[in-house]
Amino acid sequence: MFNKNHKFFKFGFWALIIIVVTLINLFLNFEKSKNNSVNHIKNLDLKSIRLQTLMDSKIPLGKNFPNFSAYNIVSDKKEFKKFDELSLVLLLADYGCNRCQNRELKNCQKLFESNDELNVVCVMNTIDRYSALRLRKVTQVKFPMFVQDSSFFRNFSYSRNYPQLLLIHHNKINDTFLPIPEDDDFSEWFFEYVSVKIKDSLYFN
Amino acid sequence: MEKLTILILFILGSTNFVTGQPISIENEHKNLRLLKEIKLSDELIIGDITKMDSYKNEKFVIVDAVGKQVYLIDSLGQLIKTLNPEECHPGFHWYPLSAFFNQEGNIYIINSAPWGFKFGSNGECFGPLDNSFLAAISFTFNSSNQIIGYYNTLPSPTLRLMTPEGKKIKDFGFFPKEFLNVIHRFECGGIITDKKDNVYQVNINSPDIFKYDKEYKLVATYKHKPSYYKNIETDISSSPGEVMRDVNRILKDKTLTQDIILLDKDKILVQFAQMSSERFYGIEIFDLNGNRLNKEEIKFRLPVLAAENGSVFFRQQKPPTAEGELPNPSILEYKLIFK
Repeated sequence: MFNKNHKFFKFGFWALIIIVVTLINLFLNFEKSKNNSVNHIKNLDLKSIRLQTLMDSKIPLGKNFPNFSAYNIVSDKKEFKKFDELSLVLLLADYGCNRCQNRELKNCQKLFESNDELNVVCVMNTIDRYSALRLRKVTQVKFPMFVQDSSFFRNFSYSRNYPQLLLIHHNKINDTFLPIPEDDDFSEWFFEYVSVKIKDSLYFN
Repeated sequence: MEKLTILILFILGSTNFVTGQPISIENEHKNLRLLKEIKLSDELIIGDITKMDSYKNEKFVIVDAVGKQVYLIDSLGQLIKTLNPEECHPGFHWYPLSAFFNQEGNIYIINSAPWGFKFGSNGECFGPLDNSFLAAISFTFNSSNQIIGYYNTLPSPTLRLMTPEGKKIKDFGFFPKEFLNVIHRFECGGIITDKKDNVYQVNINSPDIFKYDKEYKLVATYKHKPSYYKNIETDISSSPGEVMRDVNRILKDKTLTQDIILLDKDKILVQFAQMSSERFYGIEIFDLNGNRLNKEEIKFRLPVLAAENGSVFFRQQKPPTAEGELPNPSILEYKLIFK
């Protein structure tokens, strides 16, 4: 009798262990698939945002980008800038995505350091030179930075979102890019693309 | 933070009212006696002193929203610590907006998503605040280290009592229904507590001070309007596209109540931003019963950043070098003379 009970409990114990482990596994798998589906939705959202950005970036392609005068923040004097040579123009605004602006300034600086052929210029939509000086200080950029009031930007800014990047050649907008907040990879890809284009000398016709 | 709010913040918060000109107090003002200039080390790359708080005039916490850094410094300007949430919370999205000391000297950071982080009095990394905590534009603490936050959210701005970890306990507070959009768009107004846990509140649209007892019941309204104070008459639009158009028109020549600061244990400082062509910051001093203490109106070109033990602190930005290098801003400590 004792032996039968002992076998029964021994069997029951192991059955209980197996059931508990199975339930734990099922629960963990359920949580994992829930997370995966949340990540899947997040990835879809990011892809949509990137796609929208790329569509918006097409708007100004081929349009004329004029030579202009703006205040150089270092000299505090108006300077005339020409854009007949290959140029990367970064447009900033006080109300733009702050983190994006710092990121793109640093990205532009890397490109500026590695490409003698590229004219890199930043123009900030403000009358306050000190705003631009502060950004220049924390990002340690060395390429020219200018400030101008908002009426100047209406000529070629194609979005209400800032920052904006424009690749200019012979005063024509050849490429544009609207960075996405928190999407560092997307920005990196644009700058890699620009580097390749410069190296391929597609612009030097 | 919404882009428009950032722009409006900039309009109000920037010390550079005059284009390209450094704003500095060059001469001693009749209401100020210079105590010292706290110079910050050139080894630090500081974009700006966006916000600061003082703890017993011994330590200062400085937020540089441009460079995304928070520095804890001593009274001589020596760096104690650069606050870094990654020490205890790797990968934390660090976008500091403002900082406050509590009664024990611990440091609360208002961050942009996630919204709050806590450090010890020497910069020790404690961790994020509760998940339910939201960024407030102004903060104060009671004697139990509970947090009281000033929230300018729509549709219902509120004062919120929270645990030291940032969990909501209750909402209270008086806000005018006629100016909800202005309250929402500007980081103005604020709250302080006194040593008896009374709470004092100001809102952007009027110079009135609302006093709450330690049960958070409204017990008094102190009314004093400086001669230069011109009330906002209409609210701005709720539509983002129309806000910028409205701001200049509605705020032209008007006065905004910027903040309220505890000047010392029994004196309150209320600061106003005058938006006329002759732009200035006006301050009024009161005792805890709402009696005005300054005989004459006091006006400065710069905003008071912090105050403690009768001292007021301003930020000074010297002009750039010929090479365009901006020196670090410094902190000017003045004794406020108002009697």
